[in-house]
Amino acid sequence: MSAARPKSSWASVAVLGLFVLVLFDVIVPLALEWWADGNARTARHLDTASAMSAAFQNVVALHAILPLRIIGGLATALCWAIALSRFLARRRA
Amino acid sequence: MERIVVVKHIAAWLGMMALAVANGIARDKLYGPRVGELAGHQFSTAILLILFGAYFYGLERLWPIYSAGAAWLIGVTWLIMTLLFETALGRFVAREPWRKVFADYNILRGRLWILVPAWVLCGPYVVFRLHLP
Repeated sequence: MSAARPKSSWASVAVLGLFVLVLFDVIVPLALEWWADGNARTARHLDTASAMSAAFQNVVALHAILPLRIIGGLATALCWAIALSRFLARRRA
Repeated sequence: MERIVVVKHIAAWLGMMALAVANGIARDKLYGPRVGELAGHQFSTAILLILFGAYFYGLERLWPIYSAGAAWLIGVTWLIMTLLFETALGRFVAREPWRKVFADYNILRGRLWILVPAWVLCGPYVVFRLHLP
């Protein structure tokens, strides 16, 4: 049963790692920063209390970026380590 | 025979919930009070993703998944069970308002819990395709 199972090539595992890296370290952080920028621009026209509330929202939202980058970086490192080991095993074979 | 593998994986969802509960207790008792609520939530989410990854790998070694379709069937079933469990626990046991039940999914408030159901959905397919030794 397990002999017929597909085993991903080193290249597809490396691409998976790249996808995770781009998603967690580029796209989602950029989206959060873009949202925070829009929030800050809107808050300029509001009263002080609303502007402070918007600034607080931004700080909280931007706090998600670092852990997302760490999680994405760890997952990418794991994928690339697996890809490298498969690449080396293929070269040896 | 192959269907039994899917049934075993679905039953193993209880182990995931045990891991999640233990992780939540560890957060509340060990580091949560020191690092603050938001950082504690983020750290415990990252820990749970790693624990689930190791658990998926262990399950896949114990009961190898035989096809991509079976992997997605397991993932979708786990996802539905997880969302139903969390919603029922928050809404009907803890009697929290709907806004609070879904608050942990809001990434704009720094919450990262959305990664857990996403990993529960994709995890079986990822370990199936990686086919680690």
